[in-house]
Amino acid sequence: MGIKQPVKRQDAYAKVTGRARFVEDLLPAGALVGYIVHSTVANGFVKSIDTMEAEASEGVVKILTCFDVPHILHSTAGHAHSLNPEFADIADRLMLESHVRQYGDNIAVIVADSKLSAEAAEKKLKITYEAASPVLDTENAVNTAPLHGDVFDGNAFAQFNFTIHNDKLTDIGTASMKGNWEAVQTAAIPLGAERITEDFELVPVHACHIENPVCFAYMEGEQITVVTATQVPHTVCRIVANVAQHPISKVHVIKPYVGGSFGNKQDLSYEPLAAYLTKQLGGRCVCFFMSREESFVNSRTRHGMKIHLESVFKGMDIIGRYAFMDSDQGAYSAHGHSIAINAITDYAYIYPSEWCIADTRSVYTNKPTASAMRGYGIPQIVFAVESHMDDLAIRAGVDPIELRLKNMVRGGYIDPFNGNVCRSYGLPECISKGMELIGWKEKRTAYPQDNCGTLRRGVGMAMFIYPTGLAPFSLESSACRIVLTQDGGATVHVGATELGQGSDTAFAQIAAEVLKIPQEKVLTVARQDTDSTPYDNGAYASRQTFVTGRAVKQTAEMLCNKILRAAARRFGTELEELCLTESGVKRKDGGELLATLSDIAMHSLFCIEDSEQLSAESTACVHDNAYSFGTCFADIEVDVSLGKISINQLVLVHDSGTIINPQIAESQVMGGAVMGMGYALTEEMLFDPETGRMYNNNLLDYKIPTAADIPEIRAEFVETYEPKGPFGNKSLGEPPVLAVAPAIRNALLHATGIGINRLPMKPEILIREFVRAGLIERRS
Amino acid sequence: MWDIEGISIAPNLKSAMESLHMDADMRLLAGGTDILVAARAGKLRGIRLLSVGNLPELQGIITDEEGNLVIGAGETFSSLIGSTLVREKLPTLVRAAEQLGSVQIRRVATIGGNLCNGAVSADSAAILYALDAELLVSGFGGERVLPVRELHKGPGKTSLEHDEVLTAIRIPKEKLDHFGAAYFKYGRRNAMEIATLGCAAAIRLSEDGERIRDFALAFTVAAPTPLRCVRTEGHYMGEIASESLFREIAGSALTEIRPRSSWRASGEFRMQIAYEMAFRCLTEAAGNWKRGCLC
Repeated sequence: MGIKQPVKRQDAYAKVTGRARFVEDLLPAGALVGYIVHSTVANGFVKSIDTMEAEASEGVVKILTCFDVPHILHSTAGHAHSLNPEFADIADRLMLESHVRQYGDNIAVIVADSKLSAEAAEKKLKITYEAASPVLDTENAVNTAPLHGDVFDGNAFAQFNFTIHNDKLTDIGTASMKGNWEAVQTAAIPLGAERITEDFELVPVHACHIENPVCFAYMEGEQITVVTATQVPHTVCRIVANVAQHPISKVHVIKPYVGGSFGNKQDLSYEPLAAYLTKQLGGRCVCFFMSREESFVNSRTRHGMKIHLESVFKGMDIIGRYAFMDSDQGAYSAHGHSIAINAITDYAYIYPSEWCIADTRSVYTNKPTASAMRGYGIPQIVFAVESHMDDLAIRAGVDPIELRLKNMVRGGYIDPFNGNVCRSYGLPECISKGMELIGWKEKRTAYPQDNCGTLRRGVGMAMFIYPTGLAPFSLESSACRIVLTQDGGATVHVGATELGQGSDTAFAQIAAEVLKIPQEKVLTVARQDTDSTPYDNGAYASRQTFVTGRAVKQTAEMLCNKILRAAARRFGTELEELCLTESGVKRKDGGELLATLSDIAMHSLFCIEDSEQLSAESTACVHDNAYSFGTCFADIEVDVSLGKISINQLVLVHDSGTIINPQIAESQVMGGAVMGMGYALTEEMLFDPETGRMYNNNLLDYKIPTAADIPEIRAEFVETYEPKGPFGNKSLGEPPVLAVAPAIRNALLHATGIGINRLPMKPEILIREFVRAGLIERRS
Repeated sequence: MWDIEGISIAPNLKSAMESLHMDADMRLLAGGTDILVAARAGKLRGIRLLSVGNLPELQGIITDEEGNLVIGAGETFSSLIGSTLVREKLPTLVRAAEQLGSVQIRRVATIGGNLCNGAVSADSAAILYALDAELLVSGFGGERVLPVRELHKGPGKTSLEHDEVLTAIRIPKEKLDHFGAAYFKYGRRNAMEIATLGCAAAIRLSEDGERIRDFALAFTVAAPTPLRCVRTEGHYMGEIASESLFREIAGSALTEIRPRSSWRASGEFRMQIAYEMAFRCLTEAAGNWKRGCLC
């Protein structure tokens, strides 16, 4: 019962037996199919769409083109509303676009009785374009015609640059900090410091959650109901109301079970269009079920980034660090520059040197839109920084872990951007535990001695710091309601969404802990419904057990109080004399059981004179952040002649504060490790340079690891106590993915002496580098 | 919903051939793991599918009177993997089968479908090429035996007539009895993978194990069709089997293949790994010969 227990996921049986109902399971009979017509050019304008023949096609109910929808610019980002318009998300997209900015852009919608009818009708559309060459690269994009000329003059639409000197932010803005960096070098290098510079390239990847983005909408009276797979139901409600031009009180969003998301469903997909169409069609139900092929191109991706790093160092001391980051936003801004900001602030945190200087920009290109994906920019920067550290260690002639220990962030660190304090800190233990489990010292010495044939072994490591939620930068708000049920159990209502990470179970554990109710009698309501679910910003930023967890804890405490007050009233005694125990309400002195919780609930609810439903509701507004830490160690074998890396073992050690549920926590780390492996070795979105069309938008050619590819993974925890967490806990949702790719990369460096600064580290690139370095002979 | 004209199940082989003969828009469906993907992509509009995967005439794994191994075209890859006869006579085919798709795909995908689909990457093709397997084909006009090496005519194209059905694959006793074999599939993952390149070798050494008496080297995805390195085979017959010879053979094989460059992998990269795969296959096949002619 309660926290720190390996409680079974409350949705486990429903999901494995197929009883859990997902969006597609809930589709009403007779629903119409919304079918998006995608552009076949990546850059340009739709000049005309002749729909006449298509409209007469069998089964077609309605066709709307980009010329038919209202011009309501909006953002699809699932952020909380900002009362300060300056911080609002960038409104740069329409439901359907005549200005095409990516291959597969949404240019029209066919509503039909079936997908087959819609497909047949699509072939009868006559579409003309005025097309330009696609711009797929950020460096080219900054010098070409603006893709969003009505919103921004150029494609580099946001900058975030800063200079930190001795942990104080001395300069921040949109002007380049390059001059400051030159000055640091001019001062340091004559005194014997050295400089190392490197470039890293991260390509876009996709979350590949099993359930594609899916939604449907219908009307009852004036009420629009939208059923959707989302992480942010309350935000969907707000954006749908705005775009479909419907009062928010008459829009109602339901989120049933979600089949995975990893951040992708923190953006809206076709919910506004579904709501708009049902209004046009007299309330008939219209569904949008993205195919896998569409999901790759029309949902969101992890940002491709180019990261240039420079360090000035003397011996083991890093004196100054400089980063230049280009973040490839793709066609629309979605979460915009937040991702680059999140990444670059993390860059500052991990190795606080005397100088830390950075320039970043986000740039529109004609690629699919990038947005939130597990780690939110930090997997990219951790890859660059941790690879850079190993290369720096070689230059400095020191052990890479020694170098890290010397320069890494310490407990008590004060965030230079917002003054938040690092109150719990287990990074050194994450390093030492990982070293021990992987056999670091022995393998670092032993492996190189045998590394002369085609099979070479190596060990490598990487580490990270990661925040929990968005405070104090942004609003962190979560509400919770808990109702005492008639059988003496509790039902927990939260607006934070379960998407596989286990939050519903964690909330039930927290409620059970406080209320002392047996775990099996506490249930978190899995389905969110904005008409009745308390407000929550949603699931993102690994915030739920930290922020919503606090709401659950304080609400449970309020409910305890109410239960005791009801018992005191009933038994004619004072609240202070009573206490809640696992068997029910007892007197503090003597311990006599007065009533079970079921007795209290029944008596309170059905009392003729004074009926009261025992429930409590409260909102947690969190202003603090907590930093999680962790390491990943990789033991790999490289078959040099074949360019193949196989992983013998991954060890991940995490400091996420108190672990609320050890079993779910371990699974979360396993999943993250596998996702990190895919990022390291096989995953990339590939585009035709001529047309901008994605080549591999299917799960055969886009290679996520399969069950047969998973190596031995060990997940361990260093449990610190975070004073601002409801029970000492902090983030764990995203962190497991962060350090895997650089750990593998550094193991490859150890095995072969070759450092690869581009992901994925695919055979073709390895072979090229091995040939270049003379490890193998060229055969062609 | 599938955008096809219809689907029916053939009651027997004869009727299947008759249906094909009369209907130019009919295509055979066995396991469906390729066909249904094509149907989903809208490539089979107007096509009638005829299911033959379960026809009794296409089932069975036996040794025939001459001692050849005969595998029914309708046998699934998981039944090949589970067959004691195949495991004993042709373990290399089992290893190839184990690398095909996923457990779910192997449960339904058939060896006949794998060949008739005409894919240059077919996992079963390399080893069957190396062993000079024969295809037993029934047509509306009669039966014939087609060497597997004459089946593929280009990506997705085969030399089968529209009304012909592949009923079985026959692997000659002589090969099974005297050769050691090996197959190497190069993919990016350990499952759910189409080969970047496939290579199979079959080798027969002299009695004393010194010299190459006979050998075959086959590739998939190294040209528009699976192929045998015929010139190299002719050139190195009778040479002393050694590591350096196998490296030389691998180098020579590169002159006979012409893998294409695509966004999946460059031709240059495929050449690079082809060399190593050929070398390793030859080495392993020779090792298998020494262990008792394990094909």
